[in-house]
Amino acid sequence: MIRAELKKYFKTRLFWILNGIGLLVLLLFSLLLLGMSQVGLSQITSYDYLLGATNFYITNFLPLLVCVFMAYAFASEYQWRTMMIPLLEGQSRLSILRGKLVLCLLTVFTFVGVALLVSIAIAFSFFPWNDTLLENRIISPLEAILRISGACLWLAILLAIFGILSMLLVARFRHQILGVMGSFITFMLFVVTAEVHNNPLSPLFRVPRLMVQSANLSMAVLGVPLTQGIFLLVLLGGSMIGLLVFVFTRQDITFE
Amino acid sequence: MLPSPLLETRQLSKSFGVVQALRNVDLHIYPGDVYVLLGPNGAGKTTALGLLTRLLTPTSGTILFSGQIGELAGFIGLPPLYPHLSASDNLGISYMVRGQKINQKRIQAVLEQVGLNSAIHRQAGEFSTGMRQRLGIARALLFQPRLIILDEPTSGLDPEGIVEIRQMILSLNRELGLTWLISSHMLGEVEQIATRVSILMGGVQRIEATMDSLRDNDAVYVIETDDLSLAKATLPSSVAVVSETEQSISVRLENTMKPAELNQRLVQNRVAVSAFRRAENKLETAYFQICYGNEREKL
Repeated sequence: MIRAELKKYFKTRLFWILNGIGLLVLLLFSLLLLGMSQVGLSQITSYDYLLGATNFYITNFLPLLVCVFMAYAFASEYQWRTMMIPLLEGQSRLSILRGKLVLCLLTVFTFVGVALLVSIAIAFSFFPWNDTLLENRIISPLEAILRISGACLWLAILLAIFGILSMLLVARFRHQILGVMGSFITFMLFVVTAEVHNNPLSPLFRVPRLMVQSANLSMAVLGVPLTQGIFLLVLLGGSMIGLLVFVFTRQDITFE
Repeated sequence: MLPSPLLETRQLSKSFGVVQALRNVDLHIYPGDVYVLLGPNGAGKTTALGLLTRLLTPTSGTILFSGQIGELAGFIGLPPLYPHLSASDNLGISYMVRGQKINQKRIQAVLEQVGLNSAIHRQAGEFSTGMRQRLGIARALLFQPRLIILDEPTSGLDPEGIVEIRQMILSLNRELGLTWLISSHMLGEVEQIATRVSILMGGVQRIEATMDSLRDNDAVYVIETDDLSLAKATLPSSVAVVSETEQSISVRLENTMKPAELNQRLVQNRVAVSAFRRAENKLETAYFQICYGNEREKL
């Protein structure tokens, strides 16, 4: 099922168009930062650029791409009437969902991975490294990359959960735009309210922030938010998957 | 004696909310059958096929298939295909879904079998309706199934396409012994391919019978005469008038009267009979009789 999912969707124009749009936006953002740096508006180091670019891209733009792609990956199976193929080949509905979940993870990791690699290349090609000081400690370029990669990995898992939400909305309402917008708006609400005092969901964003901003990543600093964050990721992810299984396995599959 | 059914349903029912789409349907599909679900639009044919292919979940009743689930192939409505992939890749997906290594030789063989060998590398999205149907059938044939389910396979095809699909179904049935379950409302088509028929109407199964028995049931005779009123007055009460034109009446003979006796009676009563013949033995006659009985004239 997983091989089939990759063949089906990584060969679509949409996958490459979304990747292209993502890179274009990232490059435009980079040009903006480079311009600001060149005219002396601000002194931007490689680390600043990496932080700014990945933060902007992953929390503002990529969620939309992920929601668009995953809603499409589910809705197109109805549109093409291909949802019946695995069932007729003797596969269960759960195995269909397993394939889609893996597709969702691989899509998010591909989008994030490509963006991260491009950002690292730009960061170290066009921006000065200088000595990056976190609180009172200078970090090496390798440590900077590892920290940012860790934060990106965390956010990628969070994004995948919203990809699942897109599929859930499409499965339930059989409406692609509703799937995209419902999931994207929910994610943006998470982002906007992340700083609100006593927001129980704030550890979801506090963990990646600590990864890139805190000089000391000991368990004393990271332990509590990391535990809370993992708990929230498991809770959210588990709920989404559970709901998707509940809706999809009980649903009649009909085509327009 | 009939073998045990390849596919059987018992009291199969399906409701969509308050709408009961199918009510207690019993189907018996035997190996080698070309079994046709017949009925007007909204009769429940597609719903029945959706239940058999597991796209829909039954409200009640059971489905018994004597083979493995993967030995049942086909499609409901328009054939499913990935428009951005080639014909060959479309079939390759089925191997991937099953977790098997892609067998290009087999793919080529089935595409040749359905006459798509020249389009093997073309994107399926560029295919005509007939080619899509053939690609759908090629997918169904890929793993040598025991039963193929098709929902109105000739719908939307031009006359040439209809003949091609019909011949393909018949030749695969005769040569490979493939069993087919097809839904249709095209009586002429059904008559040419079906071995067994089930007629559905409003979600209710009216009859399940072999084509031969449906034809035998049709004991309708046509009497041609200039004096229709005298002819009708001469008919005994056991003979029912089925239909009437300006110069003929069609009557159904009960077992109590033979055609020769009726003819003799008409002549004795000075009815100028210009022709007395058996009506064409068409599925259409039986279909309307079963679906609408004597109400047919009101249609």
